[in-house]
Amino acid sequence: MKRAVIAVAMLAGLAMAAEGAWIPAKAKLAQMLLGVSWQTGGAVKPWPWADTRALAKLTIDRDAVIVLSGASGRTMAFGPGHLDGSAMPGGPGNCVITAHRDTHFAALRYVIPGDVLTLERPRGVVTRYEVVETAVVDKNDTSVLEPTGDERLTLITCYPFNTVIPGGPLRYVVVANKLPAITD
Amino acid sequence: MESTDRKADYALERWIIFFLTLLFFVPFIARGQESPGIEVLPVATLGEVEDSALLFKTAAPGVYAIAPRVSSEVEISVVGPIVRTRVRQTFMNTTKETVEGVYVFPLPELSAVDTLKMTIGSRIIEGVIREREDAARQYQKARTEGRKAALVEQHRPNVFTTSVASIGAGEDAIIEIEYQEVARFESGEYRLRFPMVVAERYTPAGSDSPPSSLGAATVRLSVDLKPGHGVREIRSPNHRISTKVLGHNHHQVVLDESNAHRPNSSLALGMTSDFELIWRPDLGSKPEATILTETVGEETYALVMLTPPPTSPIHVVRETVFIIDSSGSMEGASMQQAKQALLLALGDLRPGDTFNVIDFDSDAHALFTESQPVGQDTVAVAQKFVESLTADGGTEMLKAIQLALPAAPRSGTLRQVIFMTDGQVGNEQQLFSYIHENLGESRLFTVGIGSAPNSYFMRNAARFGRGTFTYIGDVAQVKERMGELFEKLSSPVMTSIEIDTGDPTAEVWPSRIPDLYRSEPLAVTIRLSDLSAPIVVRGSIGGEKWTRQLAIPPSGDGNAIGKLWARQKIEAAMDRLSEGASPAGVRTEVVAVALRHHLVSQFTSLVAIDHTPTVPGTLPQTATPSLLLIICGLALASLSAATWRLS
Repeated sequence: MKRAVIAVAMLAGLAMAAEGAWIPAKAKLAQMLLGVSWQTGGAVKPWPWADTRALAKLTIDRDAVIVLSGASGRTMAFGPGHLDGSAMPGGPGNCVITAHRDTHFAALRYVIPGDVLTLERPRGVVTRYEVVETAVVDKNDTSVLEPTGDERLTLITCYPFNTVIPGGPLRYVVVANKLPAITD
Repeated sequence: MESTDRKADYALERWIIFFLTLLFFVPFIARGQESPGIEVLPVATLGEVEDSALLFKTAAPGVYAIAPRVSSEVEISVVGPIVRTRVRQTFMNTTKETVEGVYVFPLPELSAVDTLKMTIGSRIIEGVIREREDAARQYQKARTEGRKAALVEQHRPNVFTTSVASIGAGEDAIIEIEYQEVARFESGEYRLRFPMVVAERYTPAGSDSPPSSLGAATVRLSVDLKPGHGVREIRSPNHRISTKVLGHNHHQVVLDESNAHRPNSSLALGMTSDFELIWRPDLGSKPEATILTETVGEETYALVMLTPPPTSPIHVVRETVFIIDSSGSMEGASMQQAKQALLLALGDLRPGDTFNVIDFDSDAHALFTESQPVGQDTVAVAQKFVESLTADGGTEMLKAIQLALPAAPRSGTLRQVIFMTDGQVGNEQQLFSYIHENLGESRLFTVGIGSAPNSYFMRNAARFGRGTFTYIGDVAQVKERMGELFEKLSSPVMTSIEIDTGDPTAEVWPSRIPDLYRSEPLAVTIRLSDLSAPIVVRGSIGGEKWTRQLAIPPSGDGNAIGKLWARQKIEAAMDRLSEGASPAGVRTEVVAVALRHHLVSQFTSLVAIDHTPTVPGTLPQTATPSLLLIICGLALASLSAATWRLS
């Protein structure tokens, strides 16, 4: 009897670990499928039951991720989420994109002012942004989400990058300003 | 010694099991973040929604999830014929995410929402009336800055639509709207209607979600009824109501709660079961005048109601003159309709009265040189004449009106001119001034024929002619509409009605008061700043003078009279625009009145801009429990393995 309880606990532990490992795997896999879908211009659904829409392709230091519409926990499991109501990618105002610090936005910890980020919209229009500031803010400081008169990109993820417990009070914010379009 | 070891062993084991159990729950707590919820709600497209509803945007464009409605409170205030409705509906975001909503509400015809308030969580958004361009500019500015703004739009006629921004998980959205209309008067009764649709139609079969219907959620509906005269009966055909007398000519009607649980066959079938309230005026044997007032700031708005007796006290000899338009523009269905209407009217004439028929195209021609007594022979001649008419030629309308309204009108007889036309004329101003100057004791009633008659001309010709405008859009309606018009024309009660106030700044709408007929009470609105002098209503009943003095009640307890006054003033100003008044001047006047009285008009619209940034209260949670799960899982597994060995 006692052993049975222990056996169940052991299996549960293994299941939990597997579940934990599945999260980053799912994030990677979803991005691969989204990438294929992006290539077809959205004609092919990333996966048959997909209910979200690819909004833009964000490149951070040569690594591209597909940004999804809506910054909810559900979309962020698959890709960075564009905050509903914030400016559209490449458009005027403050475009806010959030993602998990341990999956799609893990690369943010290496971003420094002066770096160039690019946002590509479905019809091939590419907007370039230059990082002007990185900051750590409290989760209640929603000023970074507020509309601005300029054209900027705000990327948000959790901070610090390497703690184990999720849901901490701090956020890491990267602010980038739109660069003039390059004309060939 | 051994036993204490055992005890220690057990204690350790118990602690380990407790710890393991705790760990076991970690993933469930952590996973709470990802659980969806919107999928369980029934879905619909905007076009499918017929009831009032709060819709949540889903990932699929154009497809909305219907939010569960918690409660609806409806307060209807009736003052005279004015019906003002205040609706307060509470919805809940039962999903686990922040959603974008769209609120829809079916409105009665010719009515617009003028007041809007939305409470979403702790945010309050209030609609304001702004000059149209100003509203559009503000809306655009807010949009480009990434702020949420809602321009109240009309996607479908008579459906009020507004967007409701960012409703957080578990948050309530309370939406309050107000709109105003005039009660319909039909067969001696006033009626008002409030839309209630049973929502079973939206709920997919087998769905466990709570139905989002007025029928299922709690509904409180009350009507504060101040009809301005006595009522003989108050009833509701589809619902059970309780009524209470609150004072003199003041009633309260409450929708019984039992309606929600009533097993009603029509409800079960998912059919409309709009709330309808009918009240029948208790009319005296003589015409009566009553007054209700509303105080708005420093101004007082008065509503004067004239009620007819149920039977006509006088028998008037009438002269009926029909004018029929047979010009080229009437060709086809319009001509058929006009002929049919006229033949119907000829058959309805009363012996003892006199009549004539005037036909016009490039020229005007009267059937008889002088109106003839109604008889079998004269009517037969007229019928033959009408049947032979063909639509061709020009539109010499003035000549026809000159024949019907001679420059020196005979006084003492009631002459009713019934004018059937599509109103395709260019010299409207000339026609209006002729009618205005030569009307005398005659009354001009216009009957609009065809799919798109010039209703501006018809409405104003009737206004100058102190008559009414009847619109017949379809051949199928000819009989019904003409029947109504004739019923009305056969029972004039009081003519030449005038209202005098001791206040030189008073403004009376409508500026030309129509006659009082047996079939319908009359309502006139007045703006007053001096309340000391009484209002004097004068009229003529079959040639005899009739006068009433109405003392102005000191404290206005009416409601929405000012808005009805303002609406009539705006209508009159808009009509002047077509009469050639300076557009800038009319615009300034309409905007001023609309802003002051909080009305949506041609030049003003309702805009709701949320000034708080519409963002979640906190920045999103952006870390996965991945590492935590792996560490805890492995710890749990290894601890269990260790315990296994110990036991």
